[in-house]
Amino acid sequence: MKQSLHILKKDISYLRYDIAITLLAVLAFTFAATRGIGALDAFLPVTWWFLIARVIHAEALPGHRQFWVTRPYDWRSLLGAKLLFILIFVNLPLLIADMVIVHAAGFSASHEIPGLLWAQVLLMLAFVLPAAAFSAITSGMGQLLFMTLLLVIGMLALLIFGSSIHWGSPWFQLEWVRTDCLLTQLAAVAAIVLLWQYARRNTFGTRVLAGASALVLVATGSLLPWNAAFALQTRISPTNISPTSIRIALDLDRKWLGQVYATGHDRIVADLPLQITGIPAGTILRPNGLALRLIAPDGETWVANQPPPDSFDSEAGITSLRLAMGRAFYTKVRDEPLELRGRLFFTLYGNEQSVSIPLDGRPVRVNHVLCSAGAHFLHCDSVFRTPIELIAARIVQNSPGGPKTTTKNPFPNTSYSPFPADLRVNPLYQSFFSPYAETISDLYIDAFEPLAYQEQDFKIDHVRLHDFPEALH
Amino acid sequence: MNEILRTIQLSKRFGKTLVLDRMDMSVPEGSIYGLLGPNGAGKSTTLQLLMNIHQASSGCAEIFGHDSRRISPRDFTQIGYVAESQEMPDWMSVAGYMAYLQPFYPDWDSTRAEQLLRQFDLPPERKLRNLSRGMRMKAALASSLAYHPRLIVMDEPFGGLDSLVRDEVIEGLLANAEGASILISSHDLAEIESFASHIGYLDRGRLQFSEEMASLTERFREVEVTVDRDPRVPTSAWPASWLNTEQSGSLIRFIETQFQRERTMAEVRRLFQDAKQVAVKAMPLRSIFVTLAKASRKAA
Repeated sequence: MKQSLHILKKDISYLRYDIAITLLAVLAFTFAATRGIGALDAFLPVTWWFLIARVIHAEALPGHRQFWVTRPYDWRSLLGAKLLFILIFVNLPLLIADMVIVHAAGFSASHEIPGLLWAQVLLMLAFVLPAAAFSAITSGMGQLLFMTLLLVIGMLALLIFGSSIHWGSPWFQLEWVRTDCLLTQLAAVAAIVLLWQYARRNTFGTRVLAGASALVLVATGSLLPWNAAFALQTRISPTNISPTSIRIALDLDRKWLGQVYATGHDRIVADLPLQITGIPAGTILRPNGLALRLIAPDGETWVANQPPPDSFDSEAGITSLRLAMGRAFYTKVRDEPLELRGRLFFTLYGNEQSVSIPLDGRPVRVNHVLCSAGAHFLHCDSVFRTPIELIAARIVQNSPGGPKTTTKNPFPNTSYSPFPADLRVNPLYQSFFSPYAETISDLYIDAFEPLAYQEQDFKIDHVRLHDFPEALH
Repeated sequence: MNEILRTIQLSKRFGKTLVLDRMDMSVPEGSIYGLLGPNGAGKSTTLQLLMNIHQASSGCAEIFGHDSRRISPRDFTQIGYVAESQEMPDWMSVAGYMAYLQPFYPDWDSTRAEQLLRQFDLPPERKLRNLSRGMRMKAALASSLAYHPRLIVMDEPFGGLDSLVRDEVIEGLLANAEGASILISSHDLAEIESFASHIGYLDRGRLQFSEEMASLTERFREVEVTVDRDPRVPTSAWPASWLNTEQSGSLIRFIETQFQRERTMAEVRRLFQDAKQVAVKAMPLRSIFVTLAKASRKAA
């Protein structure tokens, strides 16, 4: 510890200007964030990256000419000094900045301690450890920038050519499973690289490990099945309701709601009206995902993991089932009686809590959300993460034709994560809604608690695709 | 005599290149061991393997009686390592560098540190980046002598230094290394000769010999034989210890590498029965080095 503190003191003296620049960046970020400006969110990690690299490179590990390798440095003390430096000049300033931002947004910092601490854990896992490991296998800024460039090119190539990776739908609410899985692996690899490199200074070995791990991370990101993520969500979340009454069928009385159309030369999409009934009273169903199999009489099967239905009218129980298939398959089976087998993944929300929001700008807390409103606006904030609850704003407006009620979801992209913070620099999630010229007369925030994450199989026989309106041109 | 360090069949390969080939060397405690050899012979690699900067491909080395791969921070408190190519924290001043290193060494001697700065005429407030090559070497040496190391390892310390600075470095080293063992690699033979007690000669990764300086200089002699008429040098009976034979008219010159007066003279008389005059000269280390290098090249 004594040696760690001695090295730390030296690093502080050496990097005093770099530290000053980083702290100024944190100050500027805090100032901007408390005023709702997010422009500096991306700049801050760049300054951290630079500072971490500078402190690690002060006793660079690759190479054989460094003065310190033949001095009585204990590798544990050296690593400890570097991590202590990062904790003091990266983590601590962000912790303080987060407290200021949270306080300025009207939240109590003491109530947000889990979020504050978890944000630090995420910063450590997702940024500090990988940045430190990356710096530990490079000898200077030139090498670091070159390897960063390679990383950026690799990521761009992945984005361009890795079309099989479904980063968006239907992951939305479950993205945390994939993110946290990748983060855990990333942090584990970074920790191993750091420990190995500091203990043995095996630059070749650690570089090979880092490269191989990058490939494993990409594979994990692309191969992790969405169904497994949902199963995990079901397992870790308490189920407070048993939705055994739910029935899923095609709404054959309203075939006109469906449509079969072409998207591209070889692809046909069938939007079929799906009816979900038996939703328990007092609950709202939100579809999360849909897996479908269309089986022809001769046994030929078309398998599709579909995005979840875009919209679902919980009261009417109707949604659109979107089924994409190849043109050849469609041409072959359009007149045949098909068997449709599917599995619907959904969340049931309930325990509604409704709070009236005064229109004088005073903030009111609804669970984890803080909302304020005026005659022409609604403003809601959440800190560290989007709320796990389904938040709906019921806005009553005085329109020329009489009072009109509209429903808005201030946080449409919620996360089912059980953890108190998401991975991001700015802790503040803001939502602002202004219904133009029409004056708000009453405003309510309805919050629905998630009660159950369920999956349910269904089977529909004798589906004839030609029964639905066709627009193939 | 106890050994402060030794290597056992130590080999190092960089890719396909064998840089060090099964080297067996031992440095007695209290000795000044000069590891000599031409550029690329493997001297720096040997020292870096000893300091655990590189890992051996096979074989091993021992320092203070234990494996150099497990050399600990505690061991480094007793080792001073100075290398020509060593990087230093250039942003620090000379005094700042000394002050920074002090807490790492339990036996740091502040009085000696100050005295070393004075002796080497090092400006304490000057940044390391602003020091000349000679001053950097002196600063590196001063920072390695201030804690009375048991072992001082110096890798090509005289490279690029003018003779004045070189003398200062040597004087400073000898004046402040009392009791320490010194391992010094160099191709600057003239300087090594003046103070080394032991010599090892490394060529193309192989240690050709390793022995005390006195025995080395004793066994190498330049022999000149003058005969009456142009001689025919007998190739078949030519002793293996006679190297670099040259002939100029009636004069034959060679280097005897296993000189023993009576035995050598008897051999000369046997091979040159008409010898008019035989002159035997002691050789400086530089000449011994050149002889060995030439013989090695010829053999290759």
